[in-house]
Amino acid sequence: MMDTILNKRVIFVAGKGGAGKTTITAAAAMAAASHGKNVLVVETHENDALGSLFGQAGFTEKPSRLDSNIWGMRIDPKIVLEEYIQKYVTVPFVAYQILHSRIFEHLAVATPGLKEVMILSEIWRFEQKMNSNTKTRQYDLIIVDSPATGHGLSLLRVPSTLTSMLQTGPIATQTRWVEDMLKDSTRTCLVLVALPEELPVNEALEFERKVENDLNMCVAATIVNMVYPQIFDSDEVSAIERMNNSILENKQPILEAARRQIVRRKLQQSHIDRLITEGEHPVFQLPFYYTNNLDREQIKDIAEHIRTGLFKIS
Amino acid sequence: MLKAIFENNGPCIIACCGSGGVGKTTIAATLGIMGALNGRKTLVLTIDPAKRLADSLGIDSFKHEIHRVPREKFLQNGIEPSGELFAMMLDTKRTFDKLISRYASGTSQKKIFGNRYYQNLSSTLAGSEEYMAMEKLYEIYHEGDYDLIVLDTPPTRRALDFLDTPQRLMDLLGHKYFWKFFRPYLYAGRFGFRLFTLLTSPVLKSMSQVMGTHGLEDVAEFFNLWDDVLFDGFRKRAGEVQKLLSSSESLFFAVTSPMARPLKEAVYLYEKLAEHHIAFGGFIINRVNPGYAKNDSDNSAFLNSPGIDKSLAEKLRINFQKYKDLGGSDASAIEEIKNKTGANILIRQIPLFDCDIYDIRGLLKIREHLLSNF
Repeated sequence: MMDTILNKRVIFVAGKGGAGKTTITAAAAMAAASHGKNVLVVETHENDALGSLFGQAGFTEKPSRLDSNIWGMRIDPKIVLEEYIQKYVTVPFVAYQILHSRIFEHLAVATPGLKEVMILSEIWRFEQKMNSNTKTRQYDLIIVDSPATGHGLSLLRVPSTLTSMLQTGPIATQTRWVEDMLKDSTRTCLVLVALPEELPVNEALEFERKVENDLNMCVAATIVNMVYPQIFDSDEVSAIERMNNSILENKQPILEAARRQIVRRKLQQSHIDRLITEGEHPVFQLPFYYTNNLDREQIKDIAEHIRTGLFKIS
Repeated sequence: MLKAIFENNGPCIIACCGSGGVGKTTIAATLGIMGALNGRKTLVLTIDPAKRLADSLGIDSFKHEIHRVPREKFLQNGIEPSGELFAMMLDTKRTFDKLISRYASGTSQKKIFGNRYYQNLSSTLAGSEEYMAMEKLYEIYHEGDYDLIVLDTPPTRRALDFLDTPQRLMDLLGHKYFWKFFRPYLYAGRFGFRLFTLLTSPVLKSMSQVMGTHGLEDVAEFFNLWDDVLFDGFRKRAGEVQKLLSSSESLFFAVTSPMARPLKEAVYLYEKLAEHHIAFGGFIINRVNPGYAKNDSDNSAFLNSPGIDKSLAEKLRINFQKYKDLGGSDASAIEEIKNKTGANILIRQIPLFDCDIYDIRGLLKIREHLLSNF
């Protein structure tokens, strides 16, 4: 069996804010679902954008059905931690006292990395269910809409930081399990989303290096989003340039729009080329739809691109 | 209207807020040049400038220090500012450290810096990056070396988190119950926090079973180091920073693109600023696609002219429609902002250029659009 993205258990969709991570997460879920997978989409930040792409107000802390075989949930690290305390503190009264003490509030908010590990452990918990044949609902694939780049990196880097801080106890053990999951390229991979522009490409290249060197994680592909499609072939480009040069006065708006298209496409291509030559991962392109607000049909179209392209990369 | 803010009686602080990827740094750099052109000694405090932009301003190593943009760089581009332009990159951890060393005594300072909990605090406490940007701003403002400071704020989902950060920090560090809870254990012995005293409290004992004792020790040691002097110093400082930001010395701009999410963020910013009584300069909408006139009937005459291949004509028509839609989509997004915020709010549109903006020449193009009226 080929080792494609679709064969992983957990896909982290990471990248800078504004690059389209959330849309791509939703589209990838649709694409995987069309392959018959049961997909769990996970939101890791307070932002209801993902839910609205499926026509829902927002996700809850328990998986809810979004489509025939797509479920969505939001992970609240505080709730996960509370469940932890309840599980490991066997005296209910003491557990109650902890959960209602100010110190718990502080530790939950301020212990570095605790929040992140709680998010990841919840993902891990669902991932582990893929092993067993229990009757509880099983997911074949978990797709995580990670926080924006810097934060996305800290989400994934945290397990190693926290393991060194908390050397003992159930959370430390849990953290090691999470770390194993992240580093296991047969189970987990990361898909990076970038825009074909200077700074985003620089950041994507830097992120790629960090993920592989510091985190030992598998980067399956870099998605370049919002790429202007190639409308004119090279002969047509020269024809348009000739026309634009000959009509100096009273420029035709239609030619002006064509000129824009050609110039932008060329500029983007230079950044995409940089990503291809300097980066070490397959680069996968998604088209720009000439709008600020994608409609449902366009998202379905992205899903189709992902299904026939990204999911074929091995 | 926009020109007036650079006059001598204008604000001393201009902050650019907004989501990531909308071109905040570029706008901040442009406002910096405008300050210098108006004769003011200007400093741009930035987060992470593109290397090409830094290079073109003649700034090679950007870390921690203030750099002056060489005069030749301006002369090469045909401008002769009567003021000067400086740039500096923000460093959250360093600023936090400096704040600690301002208020903590020598020995506790050392211990705080060595504490693992503290080492991670500046990167985990939500909003601390934003807050430290404001802290740095306050520090530079008080040193009084510059007529104008332009701040390029960190990109956050909730761009104004920093306004709540001091309070959160205070809550975290200073809550009375927290102290009551911890103190007996902290003062139990000469070595401060000891395991066996910790474990006499059932709650702490159970927590340490879950969290591991190491984690708790670090946290306890850290809080033990926060004495009243440090705490009061921190609180007072936070109050002063807030006061400066809401004074007439400061003016905030929302930088955005016409994309739905950054725009939403910008409107949120506008509302939040009003709530905190902070002066709002206006919306700077970057990367706007040009609109095309509704009437495109003259196209058909052109497309039917004998020199144009039929299939090319069809492609040209399709392409034109896409660009018309795109321009229309941007225009209606901006119209919506106007409806939401009222007619008195300044809105400046910067077009999406056909090339990357990475040098003074490019920044001057943005300046033209900032100064012109739409």
